[in-house]
Amino acid sequence: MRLLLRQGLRHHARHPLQTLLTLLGIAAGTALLCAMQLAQRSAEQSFDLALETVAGSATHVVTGGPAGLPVAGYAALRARLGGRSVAPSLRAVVRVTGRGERIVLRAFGIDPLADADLRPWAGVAGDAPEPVPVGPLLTTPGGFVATAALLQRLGVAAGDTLPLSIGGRPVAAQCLGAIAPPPVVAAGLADVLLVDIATAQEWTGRLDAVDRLDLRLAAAAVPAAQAAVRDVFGAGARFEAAGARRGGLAQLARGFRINLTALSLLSLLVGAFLVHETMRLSVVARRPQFGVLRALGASGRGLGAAVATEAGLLGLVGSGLGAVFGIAAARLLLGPLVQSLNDHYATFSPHGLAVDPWTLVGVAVLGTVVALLAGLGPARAAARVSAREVLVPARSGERARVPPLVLVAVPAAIGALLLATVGDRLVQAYLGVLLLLVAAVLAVPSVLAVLLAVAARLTARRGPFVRYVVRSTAAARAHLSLPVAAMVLAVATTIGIATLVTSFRDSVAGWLGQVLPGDVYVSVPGGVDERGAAIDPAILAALRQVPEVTGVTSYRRTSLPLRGGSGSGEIDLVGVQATPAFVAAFPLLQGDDARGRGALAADDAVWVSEPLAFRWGLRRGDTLTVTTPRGDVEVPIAATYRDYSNERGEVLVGAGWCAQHLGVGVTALGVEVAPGADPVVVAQELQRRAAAAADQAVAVQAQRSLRTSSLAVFDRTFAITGVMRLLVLAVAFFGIYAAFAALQLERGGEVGLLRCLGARPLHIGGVVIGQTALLGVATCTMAVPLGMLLGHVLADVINRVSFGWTLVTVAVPPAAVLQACLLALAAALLAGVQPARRFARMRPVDALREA
Amino acid sequence: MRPRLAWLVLALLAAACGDAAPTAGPAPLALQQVLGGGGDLAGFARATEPPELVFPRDHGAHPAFRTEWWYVTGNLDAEGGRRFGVQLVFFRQALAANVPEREASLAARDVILAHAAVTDVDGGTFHADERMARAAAGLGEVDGGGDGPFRIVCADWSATAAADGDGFLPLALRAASRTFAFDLRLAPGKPPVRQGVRGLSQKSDEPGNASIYYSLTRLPIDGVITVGGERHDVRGLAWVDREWSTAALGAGQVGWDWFSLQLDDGADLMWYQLRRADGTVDRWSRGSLVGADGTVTPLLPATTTATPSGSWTAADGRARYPARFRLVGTAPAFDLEVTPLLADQELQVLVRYWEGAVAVRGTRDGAPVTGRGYLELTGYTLPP
Repeated sequence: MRLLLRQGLRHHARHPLQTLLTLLGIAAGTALLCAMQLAQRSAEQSFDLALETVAGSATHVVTGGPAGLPVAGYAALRARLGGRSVAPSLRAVVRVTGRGERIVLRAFGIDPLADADLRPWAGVAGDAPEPVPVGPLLTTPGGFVATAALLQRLGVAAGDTLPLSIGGRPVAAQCLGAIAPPPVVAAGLADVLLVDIATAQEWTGRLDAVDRLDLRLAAAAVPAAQAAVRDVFGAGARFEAAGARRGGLAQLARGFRINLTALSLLSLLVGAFLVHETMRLSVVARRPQFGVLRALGASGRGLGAAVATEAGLLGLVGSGLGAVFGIAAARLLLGPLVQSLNDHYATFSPHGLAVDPWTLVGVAVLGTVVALLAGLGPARAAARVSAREVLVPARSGERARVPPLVLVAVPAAIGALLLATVGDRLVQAYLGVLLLLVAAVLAVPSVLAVLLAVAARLTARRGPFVRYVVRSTAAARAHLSLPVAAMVLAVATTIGIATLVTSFRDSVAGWLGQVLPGDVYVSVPGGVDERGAAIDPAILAALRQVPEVTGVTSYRRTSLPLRGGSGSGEIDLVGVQATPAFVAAFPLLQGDDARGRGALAADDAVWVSEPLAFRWGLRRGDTLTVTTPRGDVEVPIAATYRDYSNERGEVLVGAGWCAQHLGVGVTALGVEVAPGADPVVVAQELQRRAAAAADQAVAVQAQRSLRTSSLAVFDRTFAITGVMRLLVLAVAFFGIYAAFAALQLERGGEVGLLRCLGARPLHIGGVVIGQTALLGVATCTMAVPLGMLLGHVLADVINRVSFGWTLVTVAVPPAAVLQACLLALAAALLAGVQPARRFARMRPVDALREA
Repeated sequence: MRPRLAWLVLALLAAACGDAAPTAGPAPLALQQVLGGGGDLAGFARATEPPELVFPRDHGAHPAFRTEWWYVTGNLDAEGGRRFGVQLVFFRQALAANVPEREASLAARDVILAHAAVTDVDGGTFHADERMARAAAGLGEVDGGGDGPFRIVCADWSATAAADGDGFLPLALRAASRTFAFDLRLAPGKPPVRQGVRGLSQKSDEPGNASIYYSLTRLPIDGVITVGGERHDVRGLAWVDREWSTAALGAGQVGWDWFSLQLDDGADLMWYQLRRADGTVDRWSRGSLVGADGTVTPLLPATTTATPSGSWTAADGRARYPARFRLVGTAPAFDLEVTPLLADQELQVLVRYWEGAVAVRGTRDGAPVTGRGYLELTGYTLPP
């Protein structure tokens, strides 16, 4: 066995390029998977840490509606549940002003006197080396502490003031010094100004409220606590286990995660194919040696085991390399990943990459096992070599095996069935796609045969060399089917993903025009955490005085507990005082009639966004239950509408309904300007009047620039998909290059024969490059239609199941098709260059002997 | 008196509050930090003159002073003969003398702290816990002091005067923790006794390092104590100390031994012995003997000694306390053996100290006497 292994290693050492490419293929696949897992884990850890920092060791959480929870309720609950088990917090997103760069931080208001058990690092009993300075924190309005690292980043020290703005209002903050909590907490506080809850109340203008109460309850005390929460707050508060919110976030990130993991696995598949190909070729090349070994008494089983071990070793080394590359790639991926999570889910900062050794081990094991499996076929071939092989010249004599049609049809049919009945099961959707791809791969040999036959017919009247190129390629198609299938898969996938992203972007761009019919938009700048950021009424009044303003749509966005259909949860509710233009243009799906469109103005029904309708199974005519601070209110659904802004879903209601059940307040405005007026000029005028009317900074944007910035958010979200697509393409490039180059290398004998027949070196080069180019063209010919099909499935099925929305148009982007095909062709041509030069330089007799 | 304890608590709070060096080291160190001018005392009133005490006004808060407490200890018997000790103390600590007007409902100038403990003598267990709350939005508050009956709240614990009493007594005491709870009622008994010089209790050499201090030395108490899930109807005698100050202890004072003893001949004895770093007894140690008829005799270090013997070491080895005391006075004459009812009555709360129920046996004016009381020991933590 050792002898066999040594012999195998010598073989790989003598073909360094081929071996290197194989290793790189495996490395690229595993690196991608590894990078994906690491980046994602790090992002999730940041999420968890951010939540943990906030929740401390709480077992349960009480949250209120948009107004938060009244302070009297906090005091009452603390008196009922015990003074050590209830701690309040109040958060805000703050912006550091007067700096060149945009610095956004979180202000976290706590009560250190209630935190001894829940957040020991923040409580008075804290035994941290630099405890929270309770006295100054409580008695200095605007006083904050932060980790030494953050203070250094901000360049402030104890006693310094730090100008901030919250929801557009300037506030004064004073640094009271650094705190040194335990490292895990410090990481969670990397972008946090820790303030007393009274300061947080003053900063947010929510003078008599807290955001949430963290509770620490023994299991037996939970029912009583739940009853106490109900008694104290009535229906205006939610009581839930501390893990529940995290579950919600995890649920939201799920679609995202499965998407990216599927892409990584695909690249690993390409790597596995490379191992298969390398091992197969090495077995072919070593048949005579295997024959000798058999003659000397080696068992066929021993030979097979040796080949399988070689494949495993290749996998191990390759995936080891992959782990190293993966760590580097994960650093690149983390940024876009966190950015896109931030845009959609929450505000938090990444805390750098956390390299989890078990992820590395897992990926390495997976890479090795996949390589081992990929080597099983060649190992079986090696085991079947008989002693007679010594006497018979090597022919790579496998016959072209074309899978019967039923093998193609069955997975295709099952895949299509799965996709047709997918419901909201993402895993089933992916299984369906996988089966379609399997069917496509199985169909490749037949299609390749047809394509080459067509090529032969087209070139029938060309010169002998052209005909030789086509015929010799057709003759070798038994070996070619697998590499071509793998490349078809990779190229088609990149086309499919590009189709999804481009169609999605086009749909969003069109949709933005429909939901933003106004010409100018006014809002309060701030993060997603921001609460109570209502526009000052003085500003509203001033804006209505501008002569060019012909209509105003006002919005009031709040987040409330909702129930309906199969779902429940905290959902954004948007109260709209709509203009006729808004109502007429809005992209309704169900209920697009006079009754549906009139519902908001009539204040008797709501519009539900497509993602919410999809997730909760809601239809026109169903009823939603809204938990308002004044109790539950039932309201019918008049229409559903297209929405790409919020995959959690949202609900539109009339302003009258909102005023009746939630009170008044406006968080954003859409302004229509008179025909002929320039929206940009009007926006400047509105900005000027707003600044004069009240001391609140509002963002005034012309619809054009709002559209641009919305699409920028979209592009950031899909930046990660773009990166992944390029990486898959890079692996495919390697794969095509390695496979085709290896194929040429095994054809030395044929080349020698040609040389003996009088072919000149230039001719030989032409033949080789012509063969690889032909394969490249064949690959693209199959990949493009498959990619287009895949694109439609991704856009219409996966997208809907992941996010709950459908696209207006699905179009295959020509640029992406061109890019993928050019890359595939370039790889194919490049793959021919090295063997072509080698054969051209080779003496015919050597070439013959190599055979 | 237990003033010391309060100062210790407040010293640590002050350390945590950042107006002293940021360490919560051994108690004496923390004590010195706050007394060595670590805190900004400007803007607070200082106790320099014997006060004009008016009740019920002075049962309420004195926000001009930085620190104030309401201290209740009691020895109680259940109907079946089971014995209990109980402690409930509320502290009010101002975090700053002057704070700006603020709009936030949770903005606060004062912090209310509370310690509660139950000694189950026959069960052999001791239970203690603490609470902290800002004086805002009803989380922590002190009411009364003239307009309406007295009431102090710290989170879920409270002391509330009856609406139909004298503004302070009867007083309902309520506290509950994971392992114990009590709901007790203090009734009127002996009238208030002004400690020190007509209520001005000088604690060290510097003028103004003094407190206003009065005691209610013998009040009937009854109600319910719950330990180990079992309810016990109890009654007995309690002692209330009231004290407020801005600064008190001086440099070199590292701890104290404080006695409040109720003798079965009707007399009540208070003695606090301030210990110095060099092991000597500070000359500002003081006490008083309140006769059954209410006459008050001051006790001075020249005629009074408290001699410790034996020791009890906490399970974690980080504090060692005297196991018992012999308290001897020459004028008036007494010789009392003071023995804890349980060795372990150590509170490990924000600060670490020993405060527990004791038995008293000995002679007064030559006649045999027994009694019950409370003993507080501070400054006995060991260097790490």
